[in-house]
Amino acid sequence: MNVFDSTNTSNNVDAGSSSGAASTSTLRMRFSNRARSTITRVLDLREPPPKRNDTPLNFTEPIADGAPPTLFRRPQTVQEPRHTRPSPVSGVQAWFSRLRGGNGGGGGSSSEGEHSHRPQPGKPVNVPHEHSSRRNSKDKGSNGHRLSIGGHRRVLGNLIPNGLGTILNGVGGGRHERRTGIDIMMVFPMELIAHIFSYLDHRSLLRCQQVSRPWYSAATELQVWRHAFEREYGRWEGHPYGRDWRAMFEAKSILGRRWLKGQINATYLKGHTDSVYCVQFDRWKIVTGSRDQTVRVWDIASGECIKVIGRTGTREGEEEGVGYHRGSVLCLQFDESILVTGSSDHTCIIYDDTTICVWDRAAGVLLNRLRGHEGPVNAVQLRGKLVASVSGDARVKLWEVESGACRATDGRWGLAGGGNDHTIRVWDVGTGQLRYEIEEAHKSLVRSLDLDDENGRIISGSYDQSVRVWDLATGRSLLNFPRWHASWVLAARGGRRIVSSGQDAQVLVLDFAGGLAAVDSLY
Amino acid sequence: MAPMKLLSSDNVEIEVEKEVAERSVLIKNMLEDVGDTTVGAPIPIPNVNEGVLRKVIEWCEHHRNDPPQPADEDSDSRKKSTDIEEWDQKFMQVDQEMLFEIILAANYLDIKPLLDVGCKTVANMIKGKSPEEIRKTFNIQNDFTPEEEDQIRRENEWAEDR
Repeated sequence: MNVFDSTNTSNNVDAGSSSGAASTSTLRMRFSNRARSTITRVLDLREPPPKRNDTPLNFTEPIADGAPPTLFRRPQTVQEPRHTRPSPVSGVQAWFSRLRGGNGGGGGSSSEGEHSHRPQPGKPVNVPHEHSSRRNSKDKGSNGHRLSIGGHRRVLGNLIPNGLGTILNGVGGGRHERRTGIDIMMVFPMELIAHIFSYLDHRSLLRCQQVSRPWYSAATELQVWRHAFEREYGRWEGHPYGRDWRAMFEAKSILGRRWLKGQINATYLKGHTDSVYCVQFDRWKIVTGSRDQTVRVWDIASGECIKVIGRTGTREGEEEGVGYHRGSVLCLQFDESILVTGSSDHTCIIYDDTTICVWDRAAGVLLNRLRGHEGPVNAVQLRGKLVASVSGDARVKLWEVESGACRATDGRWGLAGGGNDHTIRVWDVGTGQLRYEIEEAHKSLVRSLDLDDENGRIISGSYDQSVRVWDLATGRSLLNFPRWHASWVLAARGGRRIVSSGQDAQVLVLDFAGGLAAVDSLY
Repeated sequence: MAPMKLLSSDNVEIEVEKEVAERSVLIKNMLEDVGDTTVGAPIPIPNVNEGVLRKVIEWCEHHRNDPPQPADEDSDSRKKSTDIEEWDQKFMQVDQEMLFEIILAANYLDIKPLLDVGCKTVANMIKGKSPEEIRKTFNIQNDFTPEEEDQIRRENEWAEDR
C-alpha cells in the first residue's frame, strides 16, 4: 500500500497540531447529568418513544466502522494501512457509552484517546476484509466501550457483506477541502448512504463501485439501483419486491444498445398454410391469424405451435358459422382473458359483412360478435374493456366487450397510421393533431405499425418486405431489416422481440434479448 | 409565536421561534406530545452541537414559510434532479465536516427537506467523478486488489459505450 506516502503523513501532523485540539473541545461530552435526566423525562413522555434516550445516536446505529469519531474529530493514522482506523474515543462515543452504560464520568477518557495512535496487537495482519478482524480492532479501539457496538456491527455486517477494508487515514486537519476529506462510509449509516446514492445515475454508481470495498457494497445495494432504474426508464408499475434492479438495469441497457445496433437472433415459426395476416405476443406466447382461417398459439420459448383455433383439415366436416372464421383472420388482439379476432369472410369479394369475433381463449368459445363496420376490419386494439377496430370504411370504432355495444365512432383513436402512400403519420391522441409524418418510410404500402410507447419506438412492416424501427418522439429511422421475408405485419412488445409475418406463411421472431437472463424480470 | 429554547449538546441555549423549530418533525412531535409543560425549559438536542444547531436553525429560518412537502412516496422526489436552489447551495458551501454534521442533524431532527438538500450536495460531489477523484474528495484509500479491480471493471463493461 503505497498510499501511505509523505502527503498523508504531513496531513496527520496537521491533524494533530492545528485542528485536532480545536475539535477535541467540541467533542467532549458536555451535558451534565441534570441535562441528561431532562432528556429522559421529556423523551419518556412520548408514546412510543421514537428516539429514546438510551439510543440518542439513533442515526449512527448501523454505521460504518469508527464512524462517530470521524464526524467530530479527525481520525489518526497508524503505521500500517490495514491497521489504520480512526482514533476510537470521541465525544460521540463518549456520549454513547455514557448514555448506554450510565457512566457519568467517562467523558474524560476521550481526551486521552485523542492523540494516541493505537497499535492493535491482537489484530491479524494481512487479513484484508474479514469481519472478525475488524470487530476485533473495533472492540479494542473502543477502549472498553464495546457494549453497544456489537448489535450495530451485526447490522453493518449484513449490509456490507464484503466488510470494510478501508479505514480512514491521513485525514487532514485544515479547512481546505482537499485535506478535510472524510469517507462518507465512515460517517453515515446505510440508510443515508442509500439516500445520497439515490440521486446518482448508473454511471456514477458504477464509478462508486470502483472506489473501495465499502463503496462497492453500498453502490451495489438493490434499492439504490431501483432509483437509478426508475429515473432512467420510468416508474416501475409492477411488483417492486425482490427484484434485482441492477441486473434489470443492465439487461435493459444492453437491450437498448442491441436495438440501436440491430443485434438479433432470428427464428421462423412454421405451421400456417397461407399468408399470416396478424400477430400479437406476450412473454409466453405468440398468437397469429392467417388467411388459412385459423388462429394459432405458439410457445414463445420453444417455437412450438400449442393451439389451433379454427377450421383445420381434420375438422373439415364442421358446420360453418359455429364460431370459426369463414374467411381470413385479418387481425387479432388478446389480453389476459380474451382474444379478439377480426376477419373477412373470404367468400365475399366486397367486405361488407364484416364481423369481429370475441373469443374466450381458454374454452375457445365464441362470446360475442360485433357488427357495424361497412368494410373489412383491418385492425383491432384491446384496451381494458374496450375494443377499437379500424376498418376499410375509414372509421375507427370503439366497442364495449361485454355488451357488444358500439361506444364511439371516431378517428382519434389512431395514434399512428400507415398507408398506401408509403407514409407513416403519428397523431396526438389527446388533440387529434398530426404530430409528424415520415414520408417515404417504406418503398411500398405500409401494412402494419406497432407503437411501443414504453420504449419510444415505432416498428413498421411493409409490402416492400422490410421491417423498420423508428424513434417515436422524432420519427428518425433507427433500424432497417430489409430482406428477412415478405413482411406484412408485425408486433413488438416489451422491447424484447419483433414478431413479423407475411405472405410466406412463416412467422419470423427477431429476438434482441438472446442470452440476457435478467430480461425476464423486466416484463 | 412564542420563542422557545433549544439546548445544544455542548450546553448552549439557543433561542428560536417555535414556528422555526417546528421545521424539525422531532421537535414538533415532542412539543405536541408534552404540551405546555416545557415552556421555559430548553429542549435538549443531545446530538447536535451549538455550531451545527445554529446552522440548522439558520436554514429553518429561511425556509420557515415553505409549503409542507407532499407526503407521497419519497422515490418520486428522488427521481428529480440534484438541482439545488441558489440559497441552499450557498448555505451548503461549508467544509465537509460541517456538511456531514448538518446531514446527520437533519436526519436526527427529522427535517426532510434539509436532509434532501444535504444528500444532494454530497451526491453532486460524487457525480461525474472518476473513482480516483472520488477517493481524493473523500480521502479514501483504495483497498481493492488488482484482481478485484479487474473483476469490477469486467462487471461494469456493459455500461461502457461501444
